[in-house]
Amino acid sequence: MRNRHKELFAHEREILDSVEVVLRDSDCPRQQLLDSCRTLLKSYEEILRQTEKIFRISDMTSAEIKRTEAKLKALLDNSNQGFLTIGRDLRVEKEYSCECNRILGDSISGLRLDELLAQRSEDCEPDLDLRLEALFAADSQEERQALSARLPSLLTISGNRVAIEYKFIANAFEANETKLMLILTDVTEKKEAEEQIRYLSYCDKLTGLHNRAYAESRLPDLLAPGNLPLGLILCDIDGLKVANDLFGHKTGDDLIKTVAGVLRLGARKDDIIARWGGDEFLFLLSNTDATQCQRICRRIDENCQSQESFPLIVRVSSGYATIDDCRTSFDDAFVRADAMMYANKQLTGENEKKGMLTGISKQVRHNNERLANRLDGFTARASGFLERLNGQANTVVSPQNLTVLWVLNNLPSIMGTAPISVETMSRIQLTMGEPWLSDSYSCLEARWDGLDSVDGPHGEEIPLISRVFSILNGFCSIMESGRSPAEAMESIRMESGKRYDPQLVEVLLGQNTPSPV
Amino acid sequence: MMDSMHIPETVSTPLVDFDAERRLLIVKGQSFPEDSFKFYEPVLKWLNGYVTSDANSQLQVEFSLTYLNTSSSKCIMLVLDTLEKAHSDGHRVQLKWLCNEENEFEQECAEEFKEDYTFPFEIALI
Repeated sequence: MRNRHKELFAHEREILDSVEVVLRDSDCPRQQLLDSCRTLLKSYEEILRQTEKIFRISDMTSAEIKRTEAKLKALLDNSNQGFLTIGRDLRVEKEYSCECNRILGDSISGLRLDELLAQRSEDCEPDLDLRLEALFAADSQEERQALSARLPSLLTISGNRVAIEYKFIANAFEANETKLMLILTDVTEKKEAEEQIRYLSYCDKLTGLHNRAYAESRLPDLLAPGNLPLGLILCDIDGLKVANDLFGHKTGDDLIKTVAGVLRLGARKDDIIARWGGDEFLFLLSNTDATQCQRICRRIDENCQSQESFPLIVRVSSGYATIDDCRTSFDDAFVRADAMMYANKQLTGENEKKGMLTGISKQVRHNNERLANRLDGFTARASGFLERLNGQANTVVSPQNLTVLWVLNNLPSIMGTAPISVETMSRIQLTMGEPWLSDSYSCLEARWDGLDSVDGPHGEEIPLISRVFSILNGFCSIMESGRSPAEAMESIRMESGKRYDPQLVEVLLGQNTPSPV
Repeated sequence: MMDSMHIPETVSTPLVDFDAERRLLIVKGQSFPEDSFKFYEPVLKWLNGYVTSDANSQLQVEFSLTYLNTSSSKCIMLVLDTLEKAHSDGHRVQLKWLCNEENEFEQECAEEFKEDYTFPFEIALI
């Protein structure tokens, strides 16, 4: 190394050598000696000048290099990616970005990459060293690419998900030497976000069950011969529309969630339950025949019945079908299950209505003692009144229907919801199959004399049940205000023919019977 | 006319190229060879031969050097010394040192080299 730069100072060395010769000559004339000294001095000054200049240039160059190095290091260290290189010996080289320390740990320089990953990674395969060695031994770019594709691209390292890219880079100073660069990216948060998106896209947010998209995505696997017979159970919630109409969508949502919970109880570990539609749920059951489906449906029924009513009884209508071989399509089986479910639903129509009344009454008694007392008072008075009234021709009024009207009229107080609109009542009428409901409800406040409305019904145009409700409700309200029965009757009598049906007033006042109500 | 000179650029040595028609010698790239004298000796020999072959010969020199190690700096000084001698002998020589406009370090280095010479020496920003 030292001799390498001798030629750079050849001229200066020549001067030195020539002066040395002069100095060695003891007989050298004084003038020649002086001339040599002057030459030496001049050369020395020139060397000094050049040396100073070169020092300055060298210092500036070094500083610039250091600045550039620091900038590059800062870029790498702040890139949130780990960059490291290994050579043929598979050992980590000493220059790497600091993210590598965060991902792989401290002091990784000089360690074998395969051993490092085996220690720190939960899922690194054991033959990584052989694969890396094969990669370095590859002759062509194509072979390298093929071998690189077989290296792990995603590992769990110290609990973090880390994506790894591999790149061969040539050594700028050693033409035949290549290095393998690894680019490590911590994708833990990204993976969690992807998992969250995947979960949300396949999960029904309200119930926590899978959604239809998930069920459909699983069908190809489930229809494989190894999973047949595949059982389908379709469940439809009874009374959801009524719940939404009467009690509001929050109550409806609560019902859906309760049903979802009940269905989970009936499911086995590998069963897939998906919310198929608004009030429909689908079970997909691998290796499940018709008998087992039937058993599961029964279990679902039992679990529903054991649920506390809240205000509706929890009840679903179910239907099932099986796909026994590849000749049966999912759609065909679904249609069969749907038909069975629908048939069962028709049978439970009455239960739905009864369930509604039972539930509401329970809600009243559970939540509000005053309202419960009012309901009891109304039904007691209605009972006596109707005994006398129904004895007359063409005047049969159902006490249950009167109770339904009372409940519907007081529903805002019971549930804290808005009054039921005419449109909603029309829907409820259809759902419950009670054609009298909507007209009767709309006339609950109608005056006998029609003075409350220009085009509204009056007199016998008002449904009988509405007229009965009006007089009973009016009487009970007066009694509840603290007035005596006699005062209440007098108030009713004064409104005879005005607000109230005069004939009904007579029944109430007992003018056709010995004793008043 | 002197033969053209051409040394292709490598990772550690600059391009050295003489265009005889334009009488332009270009030195461009980085210079940190392991043995600077070995690299620059033929350039120095050629340069000496060129500036002394024809009393009226002209020579334009263009440097564009982004990095010089210490020994290369010495060699560049030898080149500049040759140009200075040719200039003082009456030959028409001129040098343009191209520097990155945004790199003050390059410009300062060029100024250092220019300081002690009297032949036409331009520092051009690009």
